[in-house]
Amino acid sequence: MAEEKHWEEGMKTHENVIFSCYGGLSNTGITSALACLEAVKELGLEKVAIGCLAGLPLGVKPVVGKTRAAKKVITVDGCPFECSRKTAENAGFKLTKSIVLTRDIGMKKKALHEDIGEDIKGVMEYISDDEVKRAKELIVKTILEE
Amino acid sequence: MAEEEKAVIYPCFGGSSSAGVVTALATIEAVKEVGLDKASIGCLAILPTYGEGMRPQMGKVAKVITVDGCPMGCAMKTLGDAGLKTTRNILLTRDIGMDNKPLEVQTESQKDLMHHISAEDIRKAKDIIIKAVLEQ
Repeated sequence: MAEEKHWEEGMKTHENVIFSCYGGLSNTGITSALACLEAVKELGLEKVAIGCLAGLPLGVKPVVGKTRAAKKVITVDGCPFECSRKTAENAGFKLTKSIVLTRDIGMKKKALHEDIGEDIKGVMEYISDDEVKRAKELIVKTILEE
Repeated sequence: MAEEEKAVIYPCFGGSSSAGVVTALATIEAVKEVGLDKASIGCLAILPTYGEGMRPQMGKVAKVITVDGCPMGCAMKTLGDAGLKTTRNILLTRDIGMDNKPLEVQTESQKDLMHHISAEDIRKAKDIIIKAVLEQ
């Protein structure tokens, strides 16, 4: 196993950082993760990367440092709990934009546990390609706009 | 009650490195394979803000599994800080021998996120997650 090279202040990093809530208990949280991945695939890693949200409350140095160095810090939450916005703000970051999929692309949240014991489907049957695409487009627009 | 038999999996989804991205992709592949009646992906980001309120609900879950990409162990620590017990902590650099690569961009091809991600690592991570969900 190669030794991990830790990022330090002053080293090159991604221009912008997005934080996805990835709240996997609902369709909206999963869509936030998939849309962020698609946005990074589209724009490339020079332009944007997905930040390590879980590292912020723990004060993980490279995570905090890369976020501080970013021109834009954007959170992408699935639902109105806005866990990624709150986590980033509680870590002291001022956000360029908070995207909430239920508000900003009109997604309807579906808690996936509701169908257990009833008619539970495969996880991807709760995810709409069109919603992933619309969420991705909103993220890309937010990163590119002046 | 079906929820009592369920596993909830918390990937770190540390998108700044290859191992963190693999946790997200492997976890969703694992849930696709075993089905939502057996396992679901937990909302890790809710725990630092609302963790205390999650305790009664989490007490009903049979297995709580964290999947961290790198030795920072952010998912495992987040659960611990919220006072939640875990059944199993998977760490990809240790448990599938994955190299954790920062997503550096020095060449044109390295701009592509998926250039840094190996399908084989996703498969190995998915297999170990499924094993943790299904084992007695």
